[in-house]
Amino acid sequence: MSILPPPTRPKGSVRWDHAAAWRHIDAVLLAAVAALVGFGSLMIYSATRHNDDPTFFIRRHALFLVLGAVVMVVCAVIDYRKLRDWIPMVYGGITILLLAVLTPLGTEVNGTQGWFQIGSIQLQPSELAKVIVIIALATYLSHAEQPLDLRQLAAALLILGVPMGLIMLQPDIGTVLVFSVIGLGMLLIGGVRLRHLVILILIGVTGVAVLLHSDVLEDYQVARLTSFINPEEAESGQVYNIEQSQIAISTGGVGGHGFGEGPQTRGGFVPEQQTDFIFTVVGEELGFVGGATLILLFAVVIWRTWRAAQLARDRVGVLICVGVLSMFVFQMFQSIGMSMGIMPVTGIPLPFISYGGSALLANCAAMGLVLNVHMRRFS
Amino acid sequence: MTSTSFKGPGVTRHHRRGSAARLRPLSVPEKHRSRARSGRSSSLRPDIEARHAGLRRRLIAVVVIACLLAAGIIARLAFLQALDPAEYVTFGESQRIRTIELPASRGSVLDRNGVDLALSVPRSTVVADPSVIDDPEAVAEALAPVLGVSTEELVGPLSGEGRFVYVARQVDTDSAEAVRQLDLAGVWLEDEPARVYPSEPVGGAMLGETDIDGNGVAGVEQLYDHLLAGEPGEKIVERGSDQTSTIVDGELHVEPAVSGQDLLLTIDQTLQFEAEKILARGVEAAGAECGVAILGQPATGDLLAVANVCVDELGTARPVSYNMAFAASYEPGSVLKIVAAAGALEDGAITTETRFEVPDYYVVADKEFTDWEEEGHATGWWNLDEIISRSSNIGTIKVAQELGRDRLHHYLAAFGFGEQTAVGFPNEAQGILRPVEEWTGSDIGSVPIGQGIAVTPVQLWAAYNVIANDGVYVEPRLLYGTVDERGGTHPAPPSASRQVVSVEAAQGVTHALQEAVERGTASDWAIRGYDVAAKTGTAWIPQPWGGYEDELGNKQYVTSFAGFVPADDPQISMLVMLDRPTDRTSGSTASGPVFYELAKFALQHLGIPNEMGAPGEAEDAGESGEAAPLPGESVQAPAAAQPPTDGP
Repeated sequence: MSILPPPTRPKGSVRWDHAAAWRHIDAVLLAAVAALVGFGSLMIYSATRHNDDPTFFIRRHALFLVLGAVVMVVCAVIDYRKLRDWIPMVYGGITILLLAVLTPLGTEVNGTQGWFQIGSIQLQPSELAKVIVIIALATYLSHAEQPLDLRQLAAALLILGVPMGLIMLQPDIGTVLVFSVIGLGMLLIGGVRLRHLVILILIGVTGVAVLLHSDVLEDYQVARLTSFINPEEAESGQVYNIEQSQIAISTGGVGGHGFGEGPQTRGGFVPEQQTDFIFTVVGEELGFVGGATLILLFAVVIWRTWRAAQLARDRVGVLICVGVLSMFVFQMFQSIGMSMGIMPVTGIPLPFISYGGSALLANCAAMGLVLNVHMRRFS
Repeated sequence: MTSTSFKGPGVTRHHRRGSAARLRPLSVPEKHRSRARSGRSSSLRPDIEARHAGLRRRLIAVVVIACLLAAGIIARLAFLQALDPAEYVTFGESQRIRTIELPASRGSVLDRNGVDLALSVPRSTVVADPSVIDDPEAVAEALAPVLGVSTEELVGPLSGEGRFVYVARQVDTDSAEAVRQLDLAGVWLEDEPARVYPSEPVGGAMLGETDIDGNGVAGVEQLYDHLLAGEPGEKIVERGSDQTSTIVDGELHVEPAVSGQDLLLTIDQTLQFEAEKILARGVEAAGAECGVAILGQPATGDLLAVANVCVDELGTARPVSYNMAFAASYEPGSVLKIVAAAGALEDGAITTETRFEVPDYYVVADKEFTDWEEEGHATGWWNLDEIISRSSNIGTIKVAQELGRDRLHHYLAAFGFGEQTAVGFPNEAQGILRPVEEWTGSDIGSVPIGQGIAVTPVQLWAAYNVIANDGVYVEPRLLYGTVDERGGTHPAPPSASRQVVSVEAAQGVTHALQEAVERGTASDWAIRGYDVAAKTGTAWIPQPWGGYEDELGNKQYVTSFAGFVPADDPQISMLVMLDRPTDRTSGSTASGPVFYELAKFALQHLGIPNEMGAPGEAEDAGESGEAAPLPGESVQAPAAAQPPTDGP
């Protein structure tokens, strides 16, 4: 029984719900993402416009942008708290996809068995797996005791480890590294004991060392990973990519050569330029000003994601945002750092800038989740 | 609508889902709180904070790590782009920017009348990229018959390392077309000019040659390479990573090539051809090994023809590429006597009337001299005309003794001996004129008669020009002019000249030389209708061990014949030198016929009027006495043998 009169609204007007979640949407984050997407589209066009079909990549990129927008809306609109009901099924589904991609159903590109060829488009399940693992891990950790006991830690590592292991079999070292960093960030916030975290990091480092000296990785993969440490000793083929990309970035100088004017870019010197080495286009054509602006845009995205984590209504929200934040920070640092010779060469795309449909969809989904958490902080 | 039972006044307008309301105080209006949250406040919700107090610290740790990583990236970016970009920028440019040389077309060499002597013609060169050729044997087999070489010769280069090899250079149009028809992968044609000499071998020793790349390496090609070569241009382009495609708009700079100049030589191709032909006959007739003939204009120093001929293994005399006229030094003998004579007249040491007691035998210091005439002669009192025309060694020595060795040396140097001429021909010799301090006591006897001194033929010819030019030394000249791109000719600067002896002294010697032709040693070779002033010379070739006799006691000769026509207004001057004649061993008998025939031809060719005023009416006049003319065809009917490119 209400003692107050029911809410009155002006007759004939649209129902105007000032408490609706969408009214709390993070416009700054949306704008930053939009700016990054625009930035990335220009760079992809510049990197590929001298190909035989100058608009091939940018046309596909546009298609994935539309799909990405849809995915972002979907991920933002469905209340993230309802995802927990679906996540076991989705997690199971992505695990099956990661298994299937290792079978002849999958396609090998550059030595990595990581794609499904569907018609003319290629789908990379490991990219989608990142977002799904973030949700799954967030869901699990949000219910765990604080701090995590060993059993819970093991369960969390299992959730993380199954897709990681399958991706290792492709093999796709870069994505495995991204998973590791996502895991680290989420465990840290999810309440892992610091000594467990230290032990985990030690095990990880030892594992990497063993891996580099074992026969699991092909020689070229080991060489790629280590050549940034000793460029003089590495084979010329391994050094070539890093050299060319650093030449491109240095050539840009402070102001850059101008859009479409980078000589290294126009000459096609940098391999994989529209994907993993996309930052070289930024560096060469837009210079330090453009590169710093791009990093600044990433900083805005990361700041708003961090802010969403702080404002989140509940632990699931915090953990989702931290997972996304870890993923973005690491991918940005790794991709840009690799093209400047301070990180090993692993095929990690620069979020929203690199060409690549699956990654774009995954990043849009991640942004959708952050928006989701942010706008539902009161509800 | 089943909402919660109680709502504060501030939230009545808000629709919210059931469970949400319980978590927050109801008194704060939503919109105010929202503003507050998006501001400075960053505290976690109390429920979360309660469950994990360390969460806030850990979230800050996460953002600190993120900031550090971003700072690291920015620092590296600033280092690469702003602080120290030079290394990578330079590296990048070195791999992108290529300078392509644009070859300059080499100038032609023409004679003074514009007849082509050397020119560059477009040819195609077959080149290959071995890295593209999968089956070198097959490619070699296809190319070999077309290029006229063996398959084995081609397999090597085609299967080598690298990305560029020459397969065949400067092939003719037909072969190039055949290669084009084959259309082999990794084999293509490039334009490359070839140097051709239309009148070859005429004037070969003068023209010299270029190497396969078109650089002058001998003769005029080398001497005037700086004029002929032009300035290669360059095109700086920016290239893509495949190294073959040029980046669109990648042409950064073009410096067009400057073509080489076309050169006009002082040479007259017709005279050159004739000189070589006559000299070859003279060399064969005298049984000599080699011969040099220099024909030119005394007033200008222009060299009209410089013939170098040697006998090959089959006994045929042919033009050779060794330019003895400039590069060879020899002891000239009696032809040098004009220097002592002119000097003594100039210094006033003698007059043309001064008479010397000339015995047949004379000793200077420790050395005995005899006069040249084999029978010897009775001692007489001879003036200069008689000494020169009879080519008396002892008379000349006495004249030189009047002059003194310092002054003799002075005049030899003033006449151009002992140093290169202004032509500066490649490998030009300077001869040997020893400094007067090194002269022995007998040198005042031997040097004036052309012993103990070595001269080049061109020096000797230039010395005779001094007499012909009334005492003025004119530097020999080879460059007549240049032709610009529009076909305009620009004369070369006239040769430097200097007065060496007075007009009177020169004319005194000229008179003596005329005497020599009229009644002296050169009298067999007078040319009817023209006053010829000339001198013979027969020298022994000094042996390496000193002296002039070989192991068998025989002497080897160098015979000379130098002079000019007409004597009173010299239009042509000439030196003929034969090396080691065996059948005819005197200057008159060996070199004389060549001088005679070539002078006659030149007078006619150049249209020089005779004493009767009729141009080119020279006729045989001097076929008396022992001397025999050259065998073979007459110089009067050379038309059939003349080269097709006869000058006007």
